[in-house]
Amino acid sequence: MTKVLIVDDSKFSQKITYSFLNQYSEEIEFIFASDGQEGLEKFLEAHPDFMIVDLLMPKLRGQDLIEKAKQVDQEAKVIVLSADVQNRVRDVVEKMGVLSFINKPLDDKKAKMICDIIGNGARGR
Amino acid sequence: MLVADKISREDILTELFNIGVGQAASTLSDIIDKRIGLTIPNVRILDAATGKIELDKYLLQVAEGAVMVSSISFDSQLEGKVSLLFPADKMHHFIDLCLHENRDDLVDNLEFTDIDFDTIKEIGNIVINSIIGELSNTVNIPVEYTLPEIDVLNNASADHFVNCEDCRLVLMMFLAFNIEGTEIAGAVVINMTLKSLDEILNEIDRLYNGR
Amino acid sequence: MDSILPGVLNCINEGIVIITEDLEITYWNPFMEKLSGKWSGEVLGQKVDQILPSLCRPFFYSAVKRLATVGNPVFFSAAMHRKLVSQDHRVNLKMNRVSVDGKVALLLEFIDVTNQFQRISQLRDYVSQLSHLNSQLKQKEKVIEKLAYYDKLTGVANRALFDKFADKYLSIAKQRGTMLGFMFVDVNEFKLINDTYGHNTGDKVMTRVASLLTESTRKNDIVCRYGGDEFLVLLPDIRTYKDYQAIAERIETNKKQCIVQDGYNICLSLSIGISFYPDDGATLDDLIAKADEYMYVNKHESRERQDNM
Repeated sequence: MTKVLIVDDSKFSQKITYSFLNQYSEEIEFIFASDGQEGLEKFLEAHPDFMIVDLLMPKLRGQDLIEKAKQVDQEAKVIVLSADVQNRVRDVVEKMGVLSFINKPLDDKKAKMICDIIGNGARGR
Repeated sequence: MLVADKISREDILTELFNIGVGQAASTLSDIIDKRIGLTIPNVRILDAATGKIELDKYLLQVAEGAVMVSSISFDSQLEGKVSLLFPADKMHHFIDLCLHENRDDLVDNLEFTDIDFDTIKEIGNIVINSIIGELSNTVNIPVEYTLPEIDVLNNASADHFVNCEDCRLVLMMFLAFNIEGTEIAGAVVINMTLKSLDEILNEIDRLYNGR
Repeated sequence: MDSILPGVLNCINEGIVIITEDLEITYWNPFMEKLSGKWSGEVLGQKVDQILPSLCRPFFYSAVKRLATVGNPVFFSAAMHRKLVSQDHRVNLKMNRVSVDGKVALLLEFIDVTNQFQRISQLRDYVSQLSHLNSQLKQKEKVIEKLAYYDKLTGVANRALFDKFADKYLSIAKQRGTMLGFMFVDVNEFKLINDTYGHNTGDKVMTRVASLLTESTRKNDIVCRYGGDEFLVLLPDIRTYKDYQAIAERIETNKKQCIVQDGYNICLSLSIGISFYPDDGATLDDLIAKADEYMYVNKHESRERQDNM
């Protein structure tokens, strides 16, 4: 089983991400966090294989969560799924070493892309 | 099922509008060539009376009650009116930031030229297009409207934006753009019929049912 | 109807361009030729973003895409988009979707607002000239006021300002039942100082005395140069004798003082007389005359003391 931590302050968005990914891969165990702070705690506690992170979140922004996670584990595998689609934001976040930066809203094509990344990563272990 | 919590209508709309605001910021950032800091807008669904009270609270904080308003009405399948409100006294600064200009002497007064109005018209068009466009796209309900009308209102009150007839509801959302350390906080007020909102929410239900 | 439409579009004083969803130009009216400097013949069939390179930007492509699919109008302002069609013209751009026979065309209207920009920049220039002029006038007003109400040599109030405030403070004292003090100060043997060290040094000594009085009095007291070597100090809002004593003590310590001016050691001595409303009179003239009288008594006493020594 691949462990995936979904960090998003919107329950709706959590659910959408979960159902999209679930339909492509049944080999995933999902963990959820509703803000950046909770995301960091669950990241440290559950050691997920992948973390799907929203950027605009209360308490701890996605950017800061990624930075903190990378400080703990340089190899942390992060996929950004955000509504903040400014190129200038994307540039900064991509420099932090994320696997992919995906614009919301999620659709079949984008979900497939995430699953491919997760599948490859999982097989690579 | 791990996501067992019942998801509120506010949460769903917040997420949809979030995506819209993100797109608006992206477009504006591309045009003005500056990064725009965003805060998370929270959508609240209120009945017209409560909506008025909440909106008046916002208007009270705005200097001299002067707001710059971009608004559009739509009346085909969905029926309602969207207004984007910004405090008028911040608008010169906002415009200057967008235009890469710096005119200290003119900041703070409430006189606007046609050029200022055109600039706000474009910003209003971007924000409303993104928010309403995203919503209409998601629920597959076309929404037709014209370019926003721009107005500066002194001593604005909620009555300007909220119509109590026809079982209308108010969707209210506060958004803030931060450009180079200056925060411009505005409000989006969508005054629509209960029927229209039901239609949107039913469509969302249908689309995401079973997911 | 179809046949007159091109004629109508040709007459419109707005740049009109029609493009397909794929940005191919299918119509370019004469006004647009004027705005852009490009002839219809050379642009038809070309892509609009190649003819107008300022449109080669992501926001334009996404606006076109959204307009073609959703159909809501788009607006680009001349202020945010400089040089949209050429260096010389400022234009707003409005885009609408037109559907004919199931085919989609995009109508681009380029509205020339160059005149508006010029007029507004003219107005801005006028406003800034006026505001410059205004601040100059205010500056001058300050200088004039200073000349009218302040002593040129010492910088303290002159008689005109003193009279103005004395009237005001006297009526306040009458209303509130507070005391108002008048202190007459004379520099002893000032003529001698002038004769010994020269007028230039004498003037400077006068200025030193003015500062000395200003420093020993309270913030709201008004020190005024009343005549050649005479000063009058207005002491408003005295509530108790303690208030008065505090001032008097400070002046007493400064009354006899040796100062160094222009390399000379000069010993200053001041004669002081103080009168109070309401004890010493009810009108300005009475109160000033009384203070003057007390000052002379004080001068006389100090002379006698000096003679005895």
